[in-house]
Amino acid sequence: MGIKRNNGLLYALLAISLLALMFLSLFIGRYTVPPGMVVSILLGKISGITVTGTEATVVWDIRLPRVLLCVMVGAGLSVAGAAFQGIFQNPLVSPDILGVSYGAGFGAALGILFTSGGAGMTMVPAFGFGLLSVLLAYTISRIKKVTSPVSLVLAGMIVGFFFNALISLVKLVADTDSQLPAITYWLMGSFANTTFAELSLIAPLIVGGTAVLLLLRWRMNILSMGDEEAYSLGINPGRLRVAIIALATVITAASVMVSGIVGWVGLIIPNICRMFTGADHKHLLPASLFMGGMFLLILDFIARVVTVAEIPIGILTAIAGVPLFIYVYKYSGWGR
Amino acid sequence: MEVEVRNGHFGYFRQEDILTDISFRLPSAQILTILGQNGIGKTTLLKCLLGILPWQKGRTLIDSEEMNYKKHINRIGYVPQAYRFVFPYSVEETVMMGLAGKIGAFSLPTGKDKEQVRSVLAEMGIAHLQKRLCSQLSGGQLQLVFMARGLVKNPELMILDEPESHLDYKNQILVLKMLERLTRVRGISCIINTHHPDHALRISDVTLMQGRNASGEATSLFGPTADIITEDNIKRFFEVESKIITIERSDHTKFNTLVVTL
Amino acid sequence: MKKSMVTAGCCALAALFITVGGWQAPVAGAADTTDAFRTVTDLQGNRVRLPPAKDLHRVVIIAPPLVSWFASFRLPHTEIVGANSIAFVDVNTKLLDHILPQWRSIPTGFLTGFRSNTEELLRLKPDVILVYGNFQKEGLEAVPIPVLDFYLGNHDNEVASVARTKLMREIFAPADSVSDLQHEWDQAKKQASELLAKRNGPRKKGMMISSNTGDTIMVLGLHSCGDDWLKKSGLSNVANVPDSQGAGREITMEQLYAWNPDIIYVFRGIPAADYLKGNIAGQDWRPIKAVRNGAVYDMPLGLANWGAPNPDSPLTLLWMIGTAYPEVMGEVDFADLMKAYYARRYGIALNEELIETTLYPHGNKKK
Repeated sequence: MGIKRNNGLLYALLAISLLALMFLSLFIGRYTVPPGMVVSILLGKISGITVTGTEATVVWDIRLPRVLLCVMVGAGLSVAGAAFQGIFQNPLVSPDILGVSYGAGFGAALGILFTSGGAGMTMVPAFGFGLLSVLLAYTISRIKKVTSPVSLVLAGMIVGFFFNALISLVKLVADTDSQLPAITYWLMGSFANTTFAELSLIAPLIVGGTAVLLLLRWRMNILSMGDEEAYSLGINPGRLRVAIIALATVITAASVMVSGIVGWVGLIIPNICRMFTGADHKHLLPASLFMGGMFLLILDFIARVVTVAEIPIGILTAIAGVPLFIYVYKYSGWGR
Repeated sequence: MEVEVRNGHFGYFRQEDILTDISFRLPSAQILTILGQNGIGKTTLLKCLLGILPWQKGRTLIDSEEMNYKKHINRIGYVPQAYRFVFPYSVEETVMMGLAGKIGAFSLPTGKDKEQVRSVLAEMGIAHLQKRLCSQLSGGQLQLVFMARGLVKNPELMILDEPESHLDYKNQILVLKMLERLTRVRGISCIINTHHPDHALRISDVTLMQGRNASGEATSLFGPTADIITEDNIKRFFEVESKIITIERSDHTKFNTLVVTL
Repeated sequence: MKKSMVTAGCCALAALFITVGGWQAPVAGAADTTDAFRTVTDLQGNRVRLPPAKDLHRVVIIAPPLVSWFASFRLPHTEIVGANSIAFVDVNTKLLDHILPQWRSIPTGFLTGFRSNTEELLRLKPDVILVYGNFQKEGLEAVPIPVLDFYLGNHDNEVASVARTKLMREIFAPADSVSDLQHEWDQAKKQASELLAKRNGPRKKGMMISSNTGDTIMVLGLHSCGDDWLKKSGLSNVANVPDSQGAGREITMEQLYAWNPDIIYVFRGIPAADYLKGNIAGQDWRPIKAVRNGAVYDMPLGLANWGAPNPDSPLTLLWMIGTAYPEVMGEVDFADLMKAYYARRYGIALNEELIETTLYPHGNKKK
């Protein structure tokens, strides 16, 4: 792979494809809206003219927030995944390695149990328990004198198992008629019920977290060499790692609280990007941002358009993730 | 840069002391070799020197002042034993990491940094490897990349952990010559770990020999290389019989080397 | 070259920010100007603006039991344009053929479980959507169509069935002269207490199975509609213990032997006949008294499953008493009660076949 990579061109291509895909997604759906009408609805809405009718609702209130959320979640999870893989020195790590998804899942299940699941009532506990689980993992990892990436991952697994058990417990107590299916569907993940209100709640979290991670991206190279190496290179790895974990956790928890558990994206996208951009996080993170957005956008397109019924996005990411993973395994340097 | 250690002690948690009463002084622009058998604590000593591990007793002085990690680390180049990374970084990307202390947390390397990387690669004679992936290099090439990474920040002291141990003869000599040149030409002080007494004899000015006494306690000897690497000391510290002989090269220069006789 | 990617990244992020930041409140439907709108409070206390009943032409029903319930009103100008496929499983389809002959062609594909594909739902152009619980509102958040929630966190069959019927009638205002369901309940309760007064001996021990997959057995415990039915019909629920709350408590065979109920009702899952015939591999029901006495009954399937609150609920009460204590029924014929009820409330003249398929949904009438 001694090829000279032209990353500038790559980014331009990725950015243009992403924007084009986002724009295209507004035109296609189960409900037929003529393309001309889509354009006039968009122009009308942007210039502040009141546009009404089912078509306007479909394009502006249903498709647009969903497309934006998809891109944000896909981009956020991929960037968080790339950052985590770097700082844990392991390309098989995903952004929920520290138990954030299970923590958030438990929070949402609790919300459903106690309030029968009004949308806002799952979001707050999901976010809260997501953060709590990572905090717990971090605390457990510090039982030993030295906090290493391995001890963190182990602690994350422990916390994950714990919250997974708590989810099962909530499921057991939940009303089988209404609450149990609500919990089950929540855990499968969906972009189906995206509103602008939800979007405006999580956008600052995901966009902010992603932006700061992007700024820190070159430093991630140093952390990816291991703690002692970082020390000898003049960098204290401890604080930087905590900062990156906190940022990635906020992104993941925010994603999980609106769209449920969407697996695989944060694991697979950075690995695919690494094949094109190389390992340098300077290039890996921006590439993951664009690719992650596109990946989820395409899968959600399948989820909402291909069949009459909505397909849970978590199932699609897993189905699409497996062959991609095999591909990456074959052509990447693992196991060499 | 002048480095001095006074009465350094270190032991890992619940283990006997690995380093006891280490003292040495390395004058500017000289080479110190730390000599000892495998597992005697040579790498631990380097980590204590860098401030990665704390001395439990004793201290390090840099140019006669107390060693301070934040203050001094960017003037010290550390070269660990070469290993393969998890991620496939290129040579250029790897060497760039040597500048980490100078590039802010929210910043990216600048064109000037790139220039610095290119010049150090040229100096090491590996400019042609710039875009190659480290995972595709030979052991010798990889060692040179690590040395370039330590050297890129223009340090006043280089600390190298067994830089020649896994190399073939040609590359061993290449690395040793490179070190001599850094010291003599650029005035960089060097500390290297090795378990080859003949390498120490060849390049170093002063030597610290680590070992264990009859009752198993860690001991060390320090002094000018010629005084430390003697047939008696080799027998005591390495448990082998040896002979130190002087060899004349074809250009009539002479050097000492050590031959194991048993 | 490196700058361009930073710029591109920032542009994308900025674009997200601007679009998100610049959103406007969704504009409600164009028909908003009509004065005839009314406000209806659903069972979750949501105040929902509805057009007048005569303008409700197309209804989507996501909550399964509400389909035949709604159909029983026989509204001439309102049709079901979308429903949950489960609605056509847990119901007497022969009865459905009478009151909703077109049921087989009603679209159900817009739902995955209880989650709607929003655009597919919009294509059905509903005027109103009926759901049961917040989880059935998934995919409906941004839809400018009134959604009414029939979920009531109350396990009293009387309260629940009356409240739902009342809300249904309030929404659709059927032009019939049917008395409200509370009146039917009052009648049924009066008759029930007269019948139960004739009972001698101790209360029988009853149990209602909420599901049995052949692997896991779930029973209806404390705070469930099944528990309420057992209580209302003069039985003691063996599963009415504090650590067995709500619907769907998994129970071991050993626990069942210990409880040893006198009578078992099967809400869903493997039909009653298989318990009696010993057809369930891996589950030996013979030691249980109810099985030895042949007292295992499938819950009838009428307009809905009689085990849950439904428009036939007052009948359920009398049917339960008739099966639990057959001796108290005397000369009362349940089939006559049922015929009268269906004629009175739905204007349906039940024939033998419809009665039998309702009371014996798995086709095994005894004697």
